[in-house]
Amino acid sequence: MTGPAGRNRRFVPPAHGFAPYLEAQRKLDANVPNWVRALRTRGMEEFQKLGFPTTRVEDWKYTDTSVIAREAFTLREPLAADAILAEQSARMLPGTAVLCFVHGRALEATPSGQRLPSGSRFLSLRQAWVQEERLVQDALGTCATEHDASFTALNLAFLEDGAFLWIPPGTDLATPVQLLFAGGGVTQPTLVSPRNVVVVGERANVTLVEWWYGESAVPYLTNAVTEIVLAPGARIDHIRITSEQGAMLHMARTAVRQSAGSSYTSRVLTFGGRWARVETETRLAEEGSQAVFDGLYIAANTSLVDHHTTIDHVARNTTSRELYKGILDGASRGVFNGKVYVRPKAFKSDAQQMNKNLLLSDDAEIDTKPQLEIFADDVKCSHGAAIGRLDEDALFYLRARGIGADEARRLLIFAFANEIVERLPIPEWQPRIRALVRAHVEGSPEEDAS
Amino acid sequence: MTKQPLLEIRNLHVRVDGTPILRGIDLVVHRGEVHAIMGPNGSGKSTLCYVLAGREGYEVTQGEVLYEGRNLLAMSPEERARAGVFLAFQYPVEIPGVGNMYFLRTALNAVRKSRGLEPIDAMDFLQLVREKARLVGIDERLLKRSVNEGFSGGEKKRNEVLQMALLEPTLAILDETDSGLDIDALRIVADGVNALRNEQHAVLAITHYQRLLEYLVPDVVHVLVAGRIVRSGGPELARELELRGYAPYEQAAASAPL
Repeated sequence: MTGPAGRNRRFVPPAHGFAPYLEAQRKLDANVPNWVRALRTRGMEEFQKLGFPTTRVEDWKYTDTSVIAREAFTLREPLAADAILAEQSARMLPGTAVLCFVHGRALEATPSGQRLPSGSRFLSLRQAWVQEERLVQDALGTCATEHDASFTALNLAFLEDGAFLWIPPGTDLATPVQLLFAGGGVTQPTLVSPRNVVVVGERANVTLVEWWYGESAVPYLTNAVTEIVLAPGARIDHIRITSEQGAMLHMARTAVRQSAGSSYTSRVLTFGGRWARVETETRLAEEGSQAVFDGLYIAANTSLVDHHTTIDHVARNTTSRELYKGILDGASRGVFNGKVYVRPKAFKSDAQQMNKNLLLSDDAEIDTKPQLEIFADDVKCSHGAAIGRLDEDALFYLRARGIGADEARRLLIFAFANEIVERLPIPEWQPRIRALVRAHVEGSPEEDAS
Repeated sequence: MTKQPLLEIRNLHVRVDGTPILRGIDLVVHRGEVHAIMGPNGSGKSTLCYVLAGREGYEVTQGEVLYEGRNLLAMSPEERARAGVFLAFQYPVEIPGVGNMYFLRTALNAVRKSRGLEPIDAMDFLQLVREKARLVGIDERLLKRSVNEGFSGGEKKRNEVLQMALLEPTLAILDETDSGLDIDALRIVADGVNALRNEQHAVLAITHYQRLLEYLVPDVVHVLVAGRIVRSGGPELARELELRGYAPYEQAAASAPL
């Protein structure tokens, strides 16, 4: 694998071969519907066909997966639930309905916190594929296909649990829904593969928060997939926070399918970690659908944070707005690749994309690639990228008013981040998120639950 | 017993990017005094302001500056501000994302802390800002915006005077605070500075025109040409400059040795 031939390959098998993965798959709970077992098999077949992508694959040019491919993962260790539960309650945002997960598995069958109105379904996926078999089967695997996607295939191969949320047509859900995923705290390299499935009915409206966190001294791969299906006129505000620290590796894919007049708002907040890649993609498949992609990433030390986004304007009169901002300190690396496609029939589409980066040290690095591909006439599109340092004039101005150099720096960094934070829905949550930003800018992420 | 000067500049030489800009400034300011420094463009007025405030990129090659008897040049910009030195910027910086109120309160609390005072209570602060905002004629809505963002030239200058009124500096340095102001704004700015004027404070007003000095009457006027103070006198010197311009001094400076 490491010979000259290996360097030219687009995909490579795991360093220890596929056998340990097959072995691990056999240990999964077999007491599941046949079609779930079939999906696992399909996932493993595709994963075995592919292996892991190398940097010769364009989409993986700047992000090395060997950090994952070389590990011998076990599936999961016994839960050490007490400490994790305490952390979870610290992260419960007020007024939400919450499902808590440890190592990708739901701790309880039904959510705590606020109750959702009758008609809504909010439960663990492994309960849902028994109780709501048809609803789950109709959606699972329809947005995030495993074809040519190593990590999605791997996630499918270990399909085991996650969250299932189904909002009936016409329901304007006043109660936000929150998913807390605790990981880490293990002694052996561990792989978890949660899958979330969300279906929002016609003209229904919901706010969803995913929060991934934990700390690990040994490699711990969260390989998550979230699928969201939006019916005509449906709206979702989807906040996705990752604050996994230490040796945790975070691989995430959110795939969305949008019907006519639907609205998808994605807010991705990624804080540090050793290796994190967050992919977000939506397909504006029908007329009048719109997407907003906001992103904020903060990294220091030797972290890698990679964000890949895809907005596919398939139908006419579709709109997208994308703004990703990055703050990189130490010897951290950021990667941003934002694809916007405007297909031949997507005339009168309107797409704007921007990626802005603040480099706080000479050793920090960003590879940014805004990518706009237009195949239709009569469209309005713009894109751009900016990389800069803290404004020296502004720093001096603040210091000339008695504000210390460190605090002046922090003020300017928060100001940069604030453009994304202040757009978060539910103003009561903003101080919580600001505290998280502050903890990571100041390099004391263990305080992010306080 | 002779009283200690508040500010004492001795033979100050400063270079910017290797070019000599200030070429031997001597200036003594006592508490209670208002000094005006007038001079043509490029004479080194703004350089003097920035050196006193501690901006980077100015190389002091000779001389010293004492503030309350301390070596001012050894202090960081924030230490100078906390010690009571305030520069009203000629071009105030826009800082998107930093709220003006938050900025004002952070600055005030930093200065208060250095004076051994507790941080100001949020309600008290609000009241104080409103009172000072009225004094300098700044629209309260501007307080809710980001620092100077989208402010007109006049609004930025008023925001500078508002900061000065809040921080109550011992030495206020005005870098062409009058430029770009209409006559009403000029009067309000001058009133703001005059309100600060007492035997404990001093003002160093840098200006290109004599106009400001009709409202802010100086004790001493200095003429700065080609990096040197070539003449000092009373308020009448400003009126003389208004009539005759800087040309006679510039000709004299041009023939002087470097």
